Amino acid sequence: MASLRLAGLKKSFGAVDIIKGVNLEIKDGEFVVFVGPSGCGKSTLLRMIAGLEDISGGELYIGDRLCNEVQPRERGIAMVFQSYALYPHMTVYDNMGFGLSLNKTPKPELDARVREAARILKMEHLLERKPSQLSGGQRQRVAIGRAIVRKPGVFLFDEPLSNLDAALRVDMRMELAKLHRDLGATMIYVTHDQIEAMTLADKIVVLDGGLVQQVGSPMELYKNPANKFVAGFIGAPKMNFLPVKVQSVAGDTAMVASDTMSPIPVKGRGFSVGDPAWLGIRPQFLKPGPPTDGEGALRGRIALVERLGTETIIAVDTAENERVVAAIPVDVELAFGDAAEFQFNPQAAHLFH
Amino acid sequence: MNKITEVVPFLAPVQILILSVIVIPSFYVVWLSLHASSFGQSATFVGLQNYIKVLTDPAFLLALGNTVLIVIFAVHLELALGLGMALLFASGLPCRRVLLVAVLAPYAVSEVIAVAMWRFLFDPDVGPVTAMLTWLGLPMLDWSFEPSHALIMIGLLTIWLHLPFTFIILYAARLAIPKDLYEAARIDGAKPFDAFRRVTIPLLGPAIVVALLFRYIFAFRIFSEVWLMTQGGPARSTEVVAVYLYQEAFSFNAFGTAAATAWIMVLASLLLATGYVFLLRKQVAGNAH
Ligand SMILES: Nc1ncnc2c1ncn2[C@@H]1O[C@H](COP(=O)(O)OP(=O)(O)O)[C@@H](O)[C@H]1O
Ligand SMILES: [Mg+2]
Repeated sequence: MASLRLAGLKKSFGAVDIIKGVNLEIKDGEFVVFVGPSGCGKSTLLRMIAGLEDISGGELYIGDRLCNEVQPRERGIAMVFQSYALYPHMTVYDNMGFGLSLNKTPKPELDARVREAARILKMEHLLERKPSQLSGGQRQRVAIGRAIVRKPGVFLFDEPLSNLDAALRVDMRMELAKLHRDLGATMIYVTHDQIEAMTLADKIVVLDGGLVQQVGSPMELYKNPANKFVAGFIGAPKMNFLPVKVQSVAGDTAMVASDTMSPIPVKGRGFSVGDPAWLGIRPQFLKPGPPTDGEGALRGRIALVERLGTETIIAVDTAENERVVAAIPVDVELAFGDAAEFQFNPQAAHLFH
Repeated sequence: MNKITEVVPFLAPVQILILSVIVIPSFYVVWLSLHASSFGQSATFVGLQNYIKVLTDPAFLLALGNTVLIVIFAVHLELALGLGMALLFASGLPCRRVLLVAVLAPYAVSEVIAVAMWRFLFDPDVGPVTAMLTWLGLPMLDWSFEPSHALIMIGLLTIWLHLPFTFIILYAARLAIPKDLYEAARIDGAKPFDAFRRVTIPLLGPAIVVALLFRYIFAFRIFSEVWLMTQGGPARSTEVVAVYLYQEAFSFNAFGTAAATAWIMVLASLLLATGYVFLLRKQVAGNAH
């Protein structure tokens, strides 16, 4: 088991900077999720930790050891690839035991460890098969089993569930959470799916453009996003952003308004009078009906209604042609083109530069 | 029924072509191999006499020995070279495109031109390579005089000519191995040689067998390299089976024994092919992709 410290970690491919200085502390036994849009450098950062990519700048500590120049095999890590990367010519048993057989682990110990991993993942009956004889989910298990057998201090996962179908993904997510509880190892998990991040992580690291945007627990990120990017990335449906102007500032609170919205007080620091700003409202905080005292109001015409059973997603186009989405926990009788009015509590809104 | 009569005229040209250039000549050669025949005399049936004659002819046995030597040394050396080069190319060589063209070029060169080139390069008196070997203090290849040197020369030439074939098969197969597997192996603790032995070689297995099979058969039929270089000389000492056949047929006009030799070659090739197809099947079934 191991903690990690990333200090000013940088990576460039030729003249292109991909990772632009990442600072991060990961505690022993933590489940950390790197999340961000495609191409933001998540995999690159993970591969730098694994030792598959050279580090262009900064320092990587695994435990107390500086690991910039250490070979992958000596870092005490194991990695699960998106493509599974199983050796096609070996049985499941040999795939899982490959690492141990390379460092000449005695046969009985190898056998015990492979069988233990197979037992944990409930795939004892698959040990003699070749990867080509397995389903996608089973291959994923073998890839995870191969990591478990190595007893690493740090597990690295690169989008391990993205090749599975939706139902299987939910099952595997729960199994991974259980695996983390049972093994207690440090896990770093890369995904572009914020739901996976929210459900699995002790700590989420939101990346964009090769920089850390915010680090925190899932609820911290949900409740107090540090910037507009994080606010838009975490939570589904996506947070609504409306352009507003700051009219007055009093302490931590700014009065904001737009042409179609009367002034409301919203928490926000570092704004001054006249600043343009973005008012962020999560779809779940919009309620149908006219505002009562002090609440914000939004009006428009219904553009889309999606009835999911547990909730109804309503898209509304405002008079300024802004698309606003509301998620309502009941089924409402609204149809395309109807006029609609929503109210929201200003305390639940966010303000961004 | 109607369908078949409509289709037959369209297929007929192919059938006629195959029948007339492959099937009928093969049977004619079988017939010929069972008869004694030469110019100006009618063929007389001799049973398996021709086969016995060929198989006990010291010249044939020498030719067979030479052929087997070339097959064993040239093909395996070529495989090792081709594999080494395929791995070198796959490991991200600089200027790969230019080098690829250079490596593949011999395949585009006609054998006749290749031999003319080599004869000049290795000429015992004026050849630049000979001059270089002498300058380096190495023994020169006296291929026009010394039979063993001539065989070495022929072996080198056939490797040079066919290396592109072996190389391209192995290179394509190597490129088909996903990069992830090597990364997974590195994380599993494989040093480069472990990855080569436990990942690359098993996954290249089928391609290696295919390359070997084809090259065994090609090499067993080797003719132009020998004929153009030494014509089997000096004193029939560098003859290979195909040259022996040619001599029987066109120098000694013994068509019966030439036909028998031809069938012996076909059977030997089939034997090689069957063995390797069997091996290949076993491997493919083992890998079950
Ligand atoms: N070997 C490489 N050479 C050049 N550019 C690369 C290489 N690997 C990744 N990149 C670039 O780095 C960026 C980040 O890639 P990656 O880390 O795979 O993103 P993510 O996993 O977040 O989708 C991408 O723009 C990609 O094109
Ligand atoms: Mg990625």
